[in-house]
Amino acid sequence: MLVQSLSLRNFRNYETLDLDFEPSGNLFLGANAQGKTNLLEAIHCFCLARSHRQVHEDELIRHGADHFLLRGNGVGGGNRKITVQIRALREGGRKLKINGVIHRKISDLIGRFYVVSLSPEDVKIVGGSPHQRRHFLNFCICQTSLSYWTSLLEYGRVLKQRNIALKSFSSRRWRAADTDELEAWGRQLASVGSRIMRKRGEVLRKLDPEVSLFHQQISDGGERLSLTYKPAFELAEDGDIEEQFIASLGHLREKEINYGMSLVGPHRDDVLMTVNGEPLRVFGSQGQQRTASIALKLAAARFLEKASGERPILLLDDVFAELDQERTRLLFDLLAEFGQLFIVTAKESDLAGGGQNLRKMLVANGTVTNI
Amino acid sequence: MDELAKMPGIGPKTAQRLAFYILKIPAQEALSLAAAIQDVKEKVRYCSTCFNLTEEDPCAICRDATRDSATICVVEEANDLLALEKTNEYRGLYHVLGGALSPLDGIGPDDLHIDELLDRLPQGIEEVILATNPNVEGEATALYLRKLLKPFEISVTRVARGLPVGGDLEYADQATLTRALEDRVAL
Repeated sequence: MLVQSLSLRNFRNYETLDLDFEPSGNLFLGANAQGKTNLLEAIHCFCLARSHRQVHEDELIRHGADHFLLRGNGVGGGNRKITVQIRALREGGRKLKINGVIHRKISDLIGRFYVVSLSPEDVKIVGGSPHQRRHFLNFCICQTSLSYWTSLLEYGRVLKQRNIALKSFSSRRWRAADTDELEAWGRQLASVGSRIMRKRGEVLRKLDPEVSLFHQQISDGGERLSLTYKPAFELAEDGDIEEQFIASLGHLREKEINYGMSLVGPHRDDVLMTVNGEPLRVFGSQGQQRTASIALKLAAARFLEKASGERPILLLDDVFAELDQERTRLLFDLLAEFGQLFIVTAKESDLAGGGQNLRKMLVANGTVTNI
Repeated sequence: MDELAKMPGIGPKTAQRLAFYILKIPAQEALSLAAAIQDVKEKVRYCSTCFNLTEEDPCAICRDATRDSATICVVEEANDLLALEKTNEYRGLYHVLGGALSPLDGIGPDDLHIDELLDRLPQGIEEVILATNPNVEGEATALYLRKLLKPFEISVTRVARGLPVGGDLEYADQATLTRALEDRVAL
């Protein structure tokens, strides 16, 4: 998978920018606040129709403009040449064209390019709230499974309906019909929710050995990093997920009505990360959390590769500045196994001699020049 | 124009076009349109049995003695009933709920014609077919009704979901395909 060229119009700080890229890798150099990360964001957006940062789409449009436009060529899955154009309006609404054909659903772009981005922000996946870990997992799975994505949307809708129902029950006197209505929404929550949980468990079992391997390669080797899915309710391994989900809703009925919200389900689940059995979120040092987050992202890339037979595109945003020379070199060795690279860094010296084969570009004040 | 724009599927531009069209047509035509609207509002009402739209109460379907009076097909809206009638396949009776459960829109069981459905069951009903929409709200409504109908010891069925007939597999959207695979049947 490759991004060969990309044109930006009114995207972030770029009014007009036309770029072409090397298949092996590309390096964006430049001082801070010149728009280097925005280029990675544009590539991410071109491939997956969304930013890799958790931002509102509005922020992607250049200040003062009413829309942004991204257009480019690449090679997608199955070695197919592909032209993509995405136009997003400030008043809302996006238009997607693939190979000149208008696609009504933005999700039609998914699965054509696989992308994994690495940045210093990734430590939040390890040290931050459970939401960050669910987001990471969802992002991995959505790229390979559109049906997982539709399940997530469906689940969101059921959850919203059920929470409003719970809230209205808690604000007035209980009526006989409420029991049955709550049960109907609960069964739906469990039906869609268990589909999501099953898929997450399955993917985590595939990620776990990869994460462990990458972690050993970039850390000192003696530590074993492992991932376990932690549902919000006690889950017996051999039992049916949906049945256990419904049973736990039964136990929590009073509590949920009091709180006026749904207390279990994939929206409350977590992923437990341990190093040699110790939870990393609590006991891990900054350095440990950083190496773990890199291992996670590389494992995600390997997972996508195994699921599709295609090497995913990797975006690395300032990852090296916080690593020592030894780890930087180790990381560069690993990167050689992946697909097209896009690397952003302020100083070339941060690369510790790695990345000699990359095409170098200087980013300064909204312009990009080959050097 | 503002009145026209209130209608579903009509935006401000279409409303403007319609308004100018009405201004242009002969008075006779415009008045007959007005009369038709008035007619609909005065004559058409809900059937007191099944809540279908009708000019006479009970509606033509409920009065039709040749239909299978032991089967009721439950739908959300009268449009759904019309769609099913067009198939000419279903010969039972209907029950229009008037919507689906949706706390977001403030619609609970009391806002739907559910009690009226239960009242009809002792009249020799043997099967209730739940044909609410295959979306989140329709599914919740079907689950709710299933629970409610259980004590009556009648057959309760749900319409199947699957691939569109006459279509190509490759054009079916992924969600439909996934569900069709999940709900596959033995041959």
